[in-house]
Amino acid sequence: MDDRLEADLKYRIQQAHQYEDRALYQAVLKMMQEQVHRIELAQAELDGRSWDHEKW
Amino acid sequence: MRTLVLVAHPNFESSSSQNFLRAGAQTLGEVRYRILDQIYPDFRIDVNEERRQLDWADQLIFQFPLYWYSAPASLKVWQDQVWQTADETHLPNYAGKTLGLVVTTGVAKKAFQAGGAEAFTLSEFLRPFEATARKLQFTYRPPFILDQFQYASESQKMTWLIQYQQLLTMTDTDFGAQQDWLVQRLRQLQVKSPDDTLLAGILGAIQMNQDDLADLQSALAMMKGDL
Repeated sequence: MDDRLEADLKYRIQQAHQYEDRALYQAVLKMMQEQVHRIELAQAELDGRSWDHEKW
Repeated sequence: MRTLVLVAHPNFESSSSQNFLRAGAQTLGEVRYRILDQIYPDFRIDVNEERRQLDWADQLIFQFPLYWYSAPASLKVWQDQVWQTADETHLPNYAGKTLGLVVTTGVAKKAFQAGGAEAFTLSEFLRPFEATARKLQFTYRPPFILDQFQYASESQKMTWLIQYQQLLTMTDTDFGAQQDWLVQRLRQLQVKSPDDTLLAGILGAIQMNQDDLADLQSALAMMKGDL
């Protein structure tokens, strides 16, 4: 994910006034990291399925 | 979703984990909290009132510390009296409702496994609740376990807080449902702070990721011949 966005989110996790908001930002960060992970997996699967061993 | 939380704890006010959970539930709508040991210190359960509460709820949560591999006495008394009275011949049918457990343990989760210090899994110890749910037609959710709360890091506690709020307010727990839930909470924050540019940035990035993943999944489905 975007480095700046990740850094800003981490700052909010530390600095948000409400404990509940800090918890929410932490969950959002983890969720976004999981989104990126799933995108990478799907891209890898797409690459794997597109690969033709006869044209290697 | 309307959730009824029944807490069994003989000394609720002194429990840091229970107070943490109660604070986490306070801002949620349609969640009722009932601390059985405070309402019925003499264990004389008002069966009609308890059944009215249960009728209101879509989801029933039993929340308790694990005492001798089960719940504290007040919850057993509640079950003995509320599910079926002595003069009733038919069992109630709670089809369409969900039963969930929120269990705190003083022992680490890893002890609850074959070969571990407690030898058996928590699913095995909690089987009577699962069997009761099955008998009464509840849908039974995977138990939510908070182990060794007093030693948990701040990050772990914050994770539990959000998971607990999700447990009380949503039935689906798949990734898509969790995404939607978090986006909804961010939008609520945005209503309070409409000029917060970071919030807008986060929501935009989440949406972009969702779109990218949907495109990739659609391309994969085409490649597999699913489309």
